[in-house]
Amino acid sequence: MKNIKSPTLWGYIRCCFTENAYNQGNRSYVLQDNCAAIFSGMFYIFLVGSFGQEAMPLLMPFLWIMVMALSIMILQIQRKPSLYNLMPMRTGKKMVYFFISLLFMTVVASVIIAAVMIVFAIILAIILAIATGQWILVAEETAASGIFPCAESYGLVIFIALIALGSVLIIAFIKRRLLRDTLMFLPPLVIFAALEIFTDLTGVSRRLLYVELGASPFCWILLTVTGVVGGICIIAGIVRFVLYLRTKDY
Amino acid sequence: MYGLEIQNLAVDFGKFKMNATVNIRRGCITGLIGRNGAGKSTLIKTIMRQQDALSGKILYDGKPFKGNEVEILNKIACVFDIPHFNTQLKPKSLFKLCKSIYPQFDAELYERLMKKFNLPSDVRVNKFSFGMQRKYCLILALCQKPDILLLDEPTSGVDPYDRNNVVELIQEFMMDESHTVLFSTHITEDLDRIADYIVIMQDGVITLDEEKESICENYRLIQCAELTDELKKEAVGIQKSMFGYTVLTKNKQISGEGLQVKVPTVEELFVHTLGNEVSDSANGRYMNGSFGANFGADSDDPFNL
Repeated sequence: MKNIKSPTLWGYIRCCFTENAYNQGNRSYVLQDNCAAIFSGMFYIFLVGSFGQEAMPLLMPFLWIMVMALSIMILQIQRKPSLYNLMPMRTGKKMVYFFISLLFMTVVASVIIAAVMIVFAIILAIILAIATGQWILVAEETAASGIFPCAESYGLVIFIALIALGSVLIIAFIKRRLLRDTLMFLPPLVIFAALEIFTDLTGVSRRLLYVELGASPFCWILLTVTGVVGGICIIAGIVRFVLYLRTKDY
Repeated sequence: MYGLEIQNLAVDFGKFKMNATVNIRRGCITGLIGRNGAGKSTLIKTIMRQQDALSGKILYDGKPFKGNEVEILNKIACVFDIPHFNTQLKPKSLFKLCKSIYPQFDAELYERLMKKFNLPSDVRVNKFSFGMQRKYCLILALCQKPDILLLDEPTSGVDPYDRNNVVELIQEFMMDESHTVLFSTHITEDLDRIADYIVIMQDGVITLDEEKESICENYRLIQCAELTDELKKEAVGIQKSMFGYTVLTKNKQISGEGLQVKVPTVEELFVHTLGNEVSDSANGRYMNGSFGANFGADSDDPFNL
């Protein structure tokens, strides 16, 4: 046979994106990805609360997306015929490209998700402003912070978080795949957009909220639950990925 | 020289075990037939590395997979039993994707075949009918410009007109004598038409691998009203209908009054050799007959008639 070239990095990334979409909507992915997202978000809150580091506001979505991208990319590799599995590429090169693609997907997805969160937050803020009548406050806060209005208390945030968690379970069991795909990313978005919106409604700073939230039992419970579920899935996915990349000698 | 050399390729699914040894000749079309669940799709998926084998060996044009992944995956293409790509995409998106994955993807051939089969480029593949999806899978496989083509029931669900086109495309592909085709199908008319070799698979094991002309020539199909002791003894497979019996035998000397003897087609060979049950359509009974037990074996009444 002639010596033929393998796909370029762009070809690999392109394939990953379509295979990603191909495998999305699977019930276990919904559960696992959302757990990973919530875990990374809560972990960020814990870090801020524990160490007072709010200097990197983008760290939270970045962490979230990275974990989610990793889980999506690992779990989408299944032992069944797919363009990804049939890609003519050496195993070692596939692994290198995998990690490069992971970074690429993380950055791109971070920007997209952050933009979606901002839009979502603004919509919620407008709804709240209509409900509370605090138009000027919204405008000022929006102008000052660039994005978010004030929050009532973090109790409301916890309530919203619980609703979002419940919605994860509901979405996971929706039968209509297209609907499931569309709604899949909403639960963590709801939590964190709401968190951002409500931090200042009572004048409580976001940092203070994170400190209290990070030290609360709620945070620990959420970290434990999502960490265990998400962690098991990610570890299983990594093991499966490593086994998958091992070139069978037959 | 062989396009594919498969030695003791073992797979274990618990209730189903496969251990296949077969050589697919280069420059030939090899038809793979077997009943549902015989392991044909499993064999093809294992060759394509989409299913792990426990042990065994596969050589692709004389080369092992390890160390030659890029060459082998470029030069071997497959039409699986279900589409192996995101069917939510439209053909125009899949075309761009395949072009980026396979550097030698033939865009001109793609356009020609899409027109030939009258497939739309801007409709999602999951909106295609089953037959249209099969045709599209074949187009993608051919446009990859492979040397080895594995086809898992490529004409299943395809209308007779396009089935003829598919068969012609395979013949066109084989005009290059370095090409190899392994063609799994239940439509034995296609194999009668184009296959050079026939491989029969039963319960995960290859039970026959011979040139099509010679295996058909080695058998005779006898139609008779009554089953004689001689026929029972010489039978490899028996079918009973309201009109009498058809007996498949290796004995070419059998003749007699009331017997109609002919060379069997691939389908007749398949029907008479691959069943553990011989159908008795007149009475609704099943008579036991085992291909493995009776293929060349002596038995007074292997079919319990």
